[in-house]
Amino acid sequence: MAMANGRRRAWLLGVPISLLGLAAALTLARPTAATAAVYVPRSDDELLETLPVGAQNRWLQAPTGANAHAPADAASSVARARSELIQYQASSDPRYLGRAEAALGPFWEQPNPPQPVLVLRARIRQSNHEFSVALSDLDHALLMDPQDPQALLDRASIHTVLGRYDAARSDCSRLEGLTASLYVSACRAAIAGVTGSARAAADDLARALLVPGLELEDECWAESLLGELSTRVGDWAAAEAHFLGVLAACPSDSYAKGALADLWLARGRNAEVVRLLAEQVQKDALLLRLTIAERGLHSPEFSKHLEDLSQRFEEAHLRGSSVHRREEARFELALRDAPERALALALSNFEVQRETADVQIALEAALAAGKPERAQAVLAFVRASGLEDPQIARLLARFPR
Amino acid sequence: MTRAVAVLCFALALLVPSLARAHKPSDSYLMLEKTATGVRGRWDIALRDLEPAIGLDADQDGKLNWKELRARLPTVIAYATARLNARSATGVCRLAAQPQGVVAHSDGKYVALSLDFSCPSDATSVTLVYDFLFDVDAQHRGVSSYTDEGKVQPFVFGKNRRSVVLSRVIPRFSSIVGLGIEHIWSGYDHLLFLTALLLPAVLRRRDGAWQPAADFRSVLLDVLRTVTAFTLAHSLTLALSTAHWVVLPSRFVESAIAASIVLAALNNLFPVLDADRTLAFGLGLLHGFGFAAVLSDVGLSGSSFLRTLFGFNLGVELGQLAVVVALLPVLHLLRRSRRYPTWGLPVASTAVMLVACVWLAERAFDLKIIS
Repeated sequence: MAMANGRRRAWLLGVPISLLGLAAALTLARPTAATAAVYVPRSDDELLETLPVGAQNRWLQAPTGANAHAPADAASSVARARSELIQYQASSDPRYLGRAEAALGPFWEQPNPPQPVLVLRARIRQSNHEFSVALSDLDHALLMDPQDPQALLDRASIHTVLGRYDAARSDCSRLEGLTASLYVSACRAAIAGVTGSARAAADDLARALLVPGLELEDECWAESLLGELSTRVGDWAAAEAHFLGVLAACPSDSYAKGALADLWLARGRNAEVVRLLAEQVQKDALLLRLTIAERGLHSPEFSKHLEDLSQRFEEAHLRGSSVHRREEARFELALRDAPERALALALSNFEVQRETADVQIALEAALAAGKPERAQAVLAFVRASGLEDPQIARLLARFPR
Repeated sequence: MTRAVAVLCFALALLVPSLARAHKPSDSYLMLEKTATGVRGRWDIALRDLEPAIGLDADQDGKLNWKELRARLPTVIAYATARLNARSATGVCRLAAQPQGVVAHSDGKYVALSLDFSCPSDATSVTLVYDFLFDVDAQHRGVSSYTDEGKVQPFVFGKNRRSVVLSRVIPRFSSIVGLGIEHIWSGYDHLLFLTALLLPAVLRRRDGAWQPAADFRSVLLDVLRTVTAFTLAHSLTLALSTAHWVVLPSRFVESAIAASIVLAALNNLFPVLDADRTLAFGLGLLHGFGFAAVLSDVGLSGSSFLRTLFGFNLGVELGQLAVVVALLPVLHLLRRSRRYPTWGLPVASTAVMLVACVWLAERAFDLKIIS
């Protein structure tokens, strides 16, 4: 009976809470992002956060007041949005996407903004997986300037992601003579890689890479594409060499890290994956691969990383985001042993995007769930596209004819 | 051609199959609940979001420590509170915000602010306007929840949804009655006080010693009188306190309630006051103040004041009645026990007193610590 005073009072308060739901306890007890405990750091020196440095990250505080309330000057908005997008591309941190959108300010909402705004807006929407509005922005931009190579290249890439290869090829052809041959070759290679002619495309792209004076970023992206093409034709040693080459030149390239991790995971080289990705826990897609490898190794880090990933997906759901469905499907399948949920996610993801990884996770989930019939649309798509890939081929062989 | 090259500086990025965006996007977490006078809660804001907005990393070394954040907390509060507003139909809600500390979410550290909006008292709904960070990061979201009547309402603020209407549900009468019942049952001190008062109900004071009551009917009457006196007293002070006519500091009330139990038990051991009714009424006044503390959390607006007060009090009396009904058969048995006056009553009263003494010490001790 002699309960501590504080406890007793909390109990007294707990009654009206449960009855009328007034109090924080309920909110705080929700199994959401909000469960974390607030604390006051004990030491002034406690490191709270590592932040990006440099003037780029401070433009909002510039004394000139360069923010969304600045006069609607299209040229400076576009310049700022573009520099944020470059940061996004380099870091894949979506905050830069949001900042690029903010930089476009009032132009973002306009039905007929200046042509460069349309191209940037399309790029941002595409990065948010809003493919149809991105396409209509690019259609619009190309009506205003039919020879804009950026708009053509971006539209080709959207068509490729959506599996509309004829439309994509037509945009790549229109690029010819408008821009450097590397871009034309890369445009075609991206399509060829998923329609059964990866080898020829790789030769063509490798030749285009021999042109001197290329930007380092372009070389890295093209090399990644070569790695992708090698994976398609089953030349894993070449693929590995390409991705390692990318990382030698562009050490922070997330795509190459993820692709390399996938190559190694498929061959059970878990320890190498952990070495590659141990520092990449901030990046969801890489944390996913790291955690899969840790599971294989029975690593002590595994359970914490699994918890972190669960929380990230939950937080994405809370904000209403669905750009992670492919990763979430893989998470459910490879880490939660929940093939049914994985299949549902993978199929809804396949409605939105149709890259090789999207095909692969949908097929794997359908087989794991014992419901191959639910992957009919995916199978039809693969057969129509002519996608060559030894891993996909092995999966296809397990489906009843 | 030069134009093409300039434009295409990140041209190939999209041709390589996409890796999902690596990091978590910008979210803040706003957890709100209804209060008597408005809305309160906690707001977690990512340090990574505040850096581009107001600058936290004073030495620009890319490492933000607690000292740097602490120095910027007033600016954080000013920046954030200027961008989160609440109003009711009749006026603006006043916002009091305090930094609570830091909190880790899955992608890093956030600063946690406590919020307390005081709105005009007749507000049946509050409109919350969130205009935070969209000028910095257009894809920022305010991931929010609002708790009222046990119902959690989740919602997400975004660039295109900057306001939300929070309806303030007036509690159902039955749930107010339920609150009263729950309160008397869970408030051990009120029950213990009542028990102390009722322990001698089967006995009568004659010639300075306890004698069994003549018949059970007189016991019933005695119990009825005591309970009625207690009820009248605590109803009176509950009303006075709830209407804010008489307000006592809660720690004083808590301690005094514990003391009242000690007194009631002492009076069983060394009877000073003959009539239990006097004790029940006098000390019962204190308990009403204790009940009022619970009611103040329910929220009493003008029109529903009497309804809430009546419902809660009804619940308290029903709960109390149930306890009395359960005690009666026990008392009936005890009346015939010869040992009850010499052993049962003193032992039970002493036990009650000891428990109450512990409470009293704790509450008084708390008082000293705080002041």
